[in-house]
This record gives sequence, structure tokens and C-alpha cells, in this order.
Amino acid sequence: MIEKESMASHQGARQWVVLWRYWMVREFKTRYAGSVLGLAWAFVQPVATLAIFYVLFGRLLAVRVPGLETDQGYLLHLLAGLAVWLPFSDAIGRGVGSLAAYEDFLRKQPMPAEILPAVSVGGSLPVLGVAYVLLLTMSVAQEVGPTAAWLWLPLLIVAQLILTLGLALFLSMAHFLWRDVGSAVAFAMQLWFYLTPVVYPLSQVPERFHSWYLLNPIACLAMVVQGCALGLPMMAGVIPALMLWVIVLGGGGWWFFRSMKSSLGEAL
Amino acid sequence: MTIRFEGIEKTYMVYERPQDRLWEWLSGRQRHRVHVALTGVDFEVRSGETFGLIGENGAGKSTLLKIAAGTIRPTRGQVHRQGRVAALLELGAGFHPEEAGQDNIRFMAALHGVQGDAMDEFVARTVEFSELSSEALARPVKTYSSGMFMRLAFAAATAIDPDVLIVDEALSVGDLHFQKKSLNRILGLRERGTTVLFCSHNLYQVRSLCQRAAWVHGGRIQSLGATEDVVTAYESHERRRYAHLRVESDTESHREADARPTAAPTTAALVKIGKLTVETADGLNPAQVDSFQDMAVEIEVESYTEGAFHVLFAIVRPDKDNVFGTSTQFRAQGEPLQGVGEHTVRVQFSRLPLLSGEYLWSIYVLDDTGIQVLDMAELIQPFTVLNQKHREFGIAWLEHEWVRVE
Repeated sequence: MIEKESMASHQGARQWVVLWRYWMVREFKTRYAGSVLGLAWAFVQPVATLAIFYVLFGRLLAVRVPGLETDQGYLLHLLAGLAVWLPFSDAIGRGVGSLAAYEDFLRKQPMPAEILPAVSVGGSLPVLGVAYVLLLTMSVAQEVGPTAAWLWLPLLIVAQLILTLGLALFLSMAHFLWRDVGSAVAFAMQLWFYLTPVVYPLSQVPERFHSWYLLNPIACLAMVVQGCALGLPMMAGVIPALMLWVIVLGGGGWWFFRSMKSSLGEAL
Repeated sequence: MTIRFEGIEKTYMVYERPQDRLWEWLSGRQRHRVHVALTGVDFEVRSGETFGLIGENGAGKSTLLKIAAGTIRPTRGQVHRQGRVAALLELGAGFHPEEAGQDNIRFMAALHGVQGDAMDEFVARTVEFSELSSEALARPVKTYSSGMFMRLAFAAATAIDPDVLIVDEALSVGDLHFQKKSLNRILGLRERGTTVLFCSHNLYQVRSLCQRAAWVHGGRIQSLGATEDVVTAYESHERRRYAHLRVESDTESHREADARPTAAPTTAALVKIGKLTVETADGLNPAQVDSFQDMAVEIEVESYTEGAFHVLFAIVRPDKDNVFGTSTQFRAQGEPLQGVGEHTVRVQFSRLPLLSGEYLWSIYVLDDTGIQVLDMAELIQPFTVLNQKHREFGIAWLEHEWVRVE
């Protein structure tokens, strides 16, 4: 009996993955349908964002990163931050509306609804890949790496995906129940970006505010990635804080989604 | 291959305002109304059986179908499903307009958990049934006509060869060819032993398809059993409801027009259509009739009250144009039929003047005024007429003569 159940759940997980894969294919095929550049947009967007911030903050405002003694220290710092921020904001931006957009479908077709936010997170993978490739090649070119600490990066990417998925699950369900969430999130993401040390290094912030950054999960993640990839000194307590955030957001998002899932098929 | 409902109850939480849900979630105090959509549903759709759900709008049929399909969970109780389930609740709900037809098929396959070789088979079956060209399949679905879309959607929805098929009546869409084809597909699955659960307002369809049926009324199973019993019970309920309304409006009109002589209040008749039999020299219900063959039509109806009624029938073309219709009311005396029990009417067409084509029958039972429809069966029993002897063409033979002009 137990064996049968685990077989069934194994089968279910496999189906889940198959469906997720097809949904990803559809997502990529249709996202740029009818556009001239097509998939190239997945590369243009992060590079353009990078260029804007680099010119604005790195050149015009000449922000410097203490502890990173290369010509392009700021660019590397910015890249490490964007490698965390861009896929995160991309996934959340798409994920929030994912359930609401398929409201009618969910009512008519039995399917695991978790797939929808998971597809949004999957959809941010190209941006993540592009950003990390840029970061690592630039680091090598600037002779900052490779270092042994780079071996932690895959784990950090997993942490980012769990964290993002948790939040996407939470926000997509919340938006489904209360449509205010979508509008609030669009605004909150802008604020959140500037509360995360991406375009500026933490060392530019007065010391007494530093511990506040532990309350920002993406800031924790960005700081750890900057630390691992570029060898920057890490703030005390940032790694345990990040671990805690992954558990809280991943588990909390999952729990909230499960507890509200029953309302999906039946919004009156 | 069965669906078993065990003590199903479904209640919806109705929130007056969206923020109520938030407050309730935060404070734990109830801030919603409970709407009971279904309660005490306890039955099994047996393996290989075709089971009908009937009832008024809003009685809970759709909720029950959705619970059977698994899109919503019952508040209490359990559903046990065995085998592969296909739900035709809404066709093409999972289609993406920007994606090509082909890719949409593959997506539907993945949605049903089909992969590998089975997916190729799935695609092949869908393509075959949809009758779409490979050129059309490579185009985005948004460029399809609604008919093409429906064909593809239906094909993809039934291509998994389900063990259990759940069909909502919303299915009766598309052109007649498509309707017939999809009905045939459902019948084919049924013949192969697929369990079918479907809901319909078309009682004629329920009667002719289902072994058993359930009448859902106000969220409960009012009656469940052999189709005939259940449908009859439902009909008499409908009749009572109608009679009730009619008595009310009758007394109303009495008050309004006291001076006017009014007809004696008639008891509302309850009559149902039994069957229609076509007879030619080739036998009963031949699939093909020759032009100018003698043909007889026999319609059996059963009356449950003393109310008087008329039987009207028409030969109809697939595009719903009537070719010829007649009624017991149009007879010389125009006397209505009356009396509890079976009634049979027979009409003889000598030398049937129809030319080649597809034709169907529509039958209506009307009350003694010939206005109120008591029962109907539209577009049933298609038959083909072949005109093999003459070269004239069209729908019907018109008597004519070529006249010499000087």
C-alpha cells in the first residue's frame, strides 16, 4: 500500500516535471511571438540595464567599491548585484499575475496550480544565466577569479530559486485573492531595488544602518553572492540570515499557497 | 474505470468584500456566508456505464461535474476515480492563441501526463480527428476560425482514450457536422467501455444515451436510478412547476377579463416522445432512402395526463431549414390527441419527393393550442436520400412539364 502510494507520488512528480517543461517551452515560444528580435530580448534586457547603471553610477557619479582593487571594480559589483536582482524581479514581475491570468483555465482543467508561479521562476533562468556568464567572464578578465569560493555559487543559485519561488507562490496567490497585491508589488519592487546594495556598495551606507539590511532577503543574497564571486568582505551574520530567509520564504510561500489553494477553482 | 462519490458536500465561502477574506485570515473570526452548493451526494458511476445528470440551472450539476473532474475539491467527502479521466468542461481552455496548433496539441498531451511514444500517438489521433491540414496545424491558433478551433480542441480533449469521460452540455457547439462527429466520438468511446458522466438539458439525449441518471435539485440528489424513472420524475416536476405558473396566470387573466368567455381551464399535459420509426420497403429505419420510394413514419409518444396535445414533426436539412413539416393539428378535423397511455401516429409518404441529400427529423409535442412545447427532439435520426433515377437536382422534386414554345 505504502509502496503504491510512493509510486503514485513518483508518477505525479514526473508528470509535474513534464508539464512544467512544456509550459516553459510555451512560455518562451509565446513570450516573444510576433517580435523581430525574439529570444534576443532575453539578452538585450539585462545588458541594457547593466549599461545604464554602469554609465550613470559607475561613470557619471563615479561610485567606487572599497576592497575591490581593479579598474572595473564597480562594474563587477554591479554585475554581481544584478545577477541576483534581475532574475528575481523578472520572476516576481511575471509570477504575481500568473494565477489570476489563468483563473478560468484553473476552473476548467484539473492541474497542479503550483506550476504557474514555477513557470515564472523558470522563465527568469535565461536572464540569470546571462548575468552569471557575464559576471564570471568579467571576473576572470579582471583577474578577480576564479577562486575556491566560486564553488558556493551553484548553491547560492539554488537558494535564490527557492527564495524566489516561495515569494512567487505567496504573491501569486495573494494577488489572486486580493487584486491590490499586483499594483502594490509593482511599486514595492522599485523601492526594494534601491534598498538592496546593487547600484551602490554597502560600505557607502552609514555603519549603523548595516544590520537593517539583514531584514532584506535579497540584500542578504546579493551580499553573499558579491562576497563569494568577488571576494568582498561579508557582513557578520549575513549567511545565517540568508539561510533563515530561504527557509521562511520558501516554506512560508509553499504553506500559504497550499492553505489557500482550495479557493482557486471556485472564486464566485 | 469508475467514479465514486462518497458523502460529497460542497460549500462555498462567500465574502461580501475582498478585504473580509483578509480580516478573517488574520483574525480567525468568520466573516463569510456559507453557500451550500451540494450536499449528501453519495453514488457510484459504474464501470462502462453512461450516466446522466439532469436538473434545473443552478441545481449543482456543474459543481458536481467539476468535483468529478477534480478542478474543485469537495468540502466534505471523497471522490474516487479510477482510470484516465478526460473532462470536457470547456473546449480549448488550455490553448494558447499565439502557439501553433501542433504545439497546443503537445501541450494538451503534457497536461494529461502523456509523454514519449504515447505523445506521438496522441498527436496523430488528434490530427486525424481534427481534419486540419498540416499547413493549418503549423499556424498559431489565433488565426483559426471558431469551427477549426473547436475541432482541434475536441480532438485534443478526447485523444487520451479516456477510461472515464466527463462532458458538460456546453459541448453542443460548432456546426452540425462537428456536433455529429463529436457525438459519434463519444458514442465510440462508450462502445469501447468508457464510463461516461454527462449533464444535459436535452432530455431526449439523456434518455437515448444513459443507462442511469440522477436528478440534482437544490444541491441534493433528488432521485437516482434507471434513466426512464428519473427523467420522468424530473419531467413531472417541471410540468407541475409549469402548471403552477399557468394556473396563476390563468386566474390573473380571469380577473382581468371577467366578461370575456374563457375556455375551461385545461390540465397541463405531460407527454413525452418515445421513438420515431421510419419504414420503407427496405425495412425499419434504413440508413438510406431512395427518392420516390414509399416511406412511412411512425412516432410513439406517451401521455401521463388527460391533457390534450398535438404531435408535430418536420423533415429538416442539416442547416436546420425545414423541408416539410406537419402536425396532427393540421389534419382535416384538427382534433388533438388525448388520454393517458401510449399514442402512435403514422404518416405515409407515397413516392417521397425528396432528392439527394442528408435529412433529419425534428419532433415536437405541443399542447392543445399548438403553441406550448411539451417535449421535443430536434435534429434526430439522420437519413440519406439518394436520387438514382433522375438527373434533376435540388432538395425536392417539383412536378413539372417541359412545354413546347413556338
